[in-house]
Amino acid sequence: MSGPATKIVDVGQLAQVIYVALIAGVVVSLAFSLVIRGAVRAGEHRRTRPVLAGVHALLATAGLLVVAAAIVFGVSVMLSK
Amino acid sequence: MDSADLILGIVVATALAFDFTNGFHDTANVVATTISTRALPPRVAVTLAAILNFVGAFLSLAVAATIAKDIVNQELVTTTIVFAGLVGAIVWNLVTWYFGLPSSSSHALIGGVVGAMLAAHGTAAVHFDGLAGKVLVPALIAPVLAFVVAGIAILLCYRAVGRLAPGPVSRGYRLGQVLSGGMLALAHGTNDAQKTMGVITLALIANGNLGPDAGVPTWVVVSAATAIALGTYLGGWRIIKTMGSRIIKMDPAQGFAAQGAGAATILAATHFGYPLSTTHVISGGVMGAGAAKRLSAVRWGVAGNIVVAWVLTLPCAAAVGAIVYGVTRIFGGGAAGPVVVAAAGLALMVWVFVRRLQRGAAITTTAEGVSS
Repeated sequence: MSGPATKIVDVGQLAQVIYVALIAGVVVSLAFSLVIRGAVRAGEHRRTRPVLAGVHALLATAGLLVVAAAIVFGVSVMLSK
Repeated sequence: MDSADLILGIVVATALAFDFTNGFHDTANVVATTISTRALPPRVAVTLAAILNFVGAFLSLAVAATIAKDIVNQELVTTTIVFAGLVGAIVWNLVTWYFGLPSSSSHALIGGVVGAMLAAHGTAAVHFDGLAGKVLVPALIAPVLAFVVAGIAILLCYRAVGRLAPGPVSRGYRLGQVLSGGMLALAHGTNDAQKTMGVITLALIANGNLGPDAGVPTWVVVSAATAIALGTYLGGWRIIKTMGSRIIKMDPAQGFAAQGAGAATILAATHFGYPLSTTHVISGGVMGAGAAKRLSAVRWGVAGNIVVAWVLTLPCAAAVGAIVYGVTRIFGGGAAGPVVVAAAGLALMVWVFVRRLQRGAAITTTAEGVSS
């Protein structure tokens, strides 16, 4: 985009809003879904296939860490303004 | 107390009243999906949202700075103009609340101030580039962005949990909704409370209590946070019904995706000082989460009514702001105009509330979803 429109609209700033919202929204939703998937599968395989259950529990933990990190990062970015 | 201080007092009280109606009006945006999917009981959801709205108001001041500096010419602002703008916003908020339409409190406030400014000083007093760049363009982009983010998120959610038993999955997403709803309440508090802070700061600058480059005083932050939290707690149950079930019937995964998309969009925009409409954003998220599953799941007629309310908000609030400014000028430049308008407005608000209560219970949403 060029000309008067770029003077009125800060295109770079808006683009940052778009990709930050897109990445944050999608990644957090996917990570939380993996928490659910990991937790449910770990519960299902707990008695019959303990190794697989452990892998799923690890997946759930990793997802949970991503969600927690995203929340802490989001709030800290807000506090830095 | 001289006349100028009396007008300033009325402006601050009116701004806090607007903030209260903002919380009252926008509670639906924050808690509707949480309630309609039974992630939390209504009272608990609303109380949590009120607390997080209060906390959120302390997180950032970038939006307040935009409202105070980038939209109208600060040097031409008077306390009477700010007052007229606030009345325009409150009137439009009450009209849309009365009809259960989730319109934008933010655009009502900005429209009201711009309308009063146009009536007082003409087009030269409005920064149309700031209005377009900081308000109108983000207003177009934000709901589309939330729609897309929620749409992609829900498809990935379904993909990730597709073959699992529905019971534990629903319980998991309900738990997730407590988190995403909390983030949304935080985002709402930080973006919306700042608009009132910006307007009060504008009035303090206009009255000479603050210099042009002064920051937002602490008492303004605390009082705005309190007003929006109180409004949120008392809640806009009529709009919860529209947001929570009339656009789409949601499952917990959709509610989680819609709230997560809304929170991500609002927090990202707030960081850069864009005064977004939380209503627009979460409506976009709700529609995106519904449309990605099945286009016909979205009640497009209701969605269309909301779009019409959005389109009308800026011009209607501006028109009311301009009319109110004209009425106050009839009484001269002193405090008489704002006093008369404030008294008349208060009487009208009481009449609307009493009439609304006489027509039936305000609470229309139950823990099971919607009662009618």
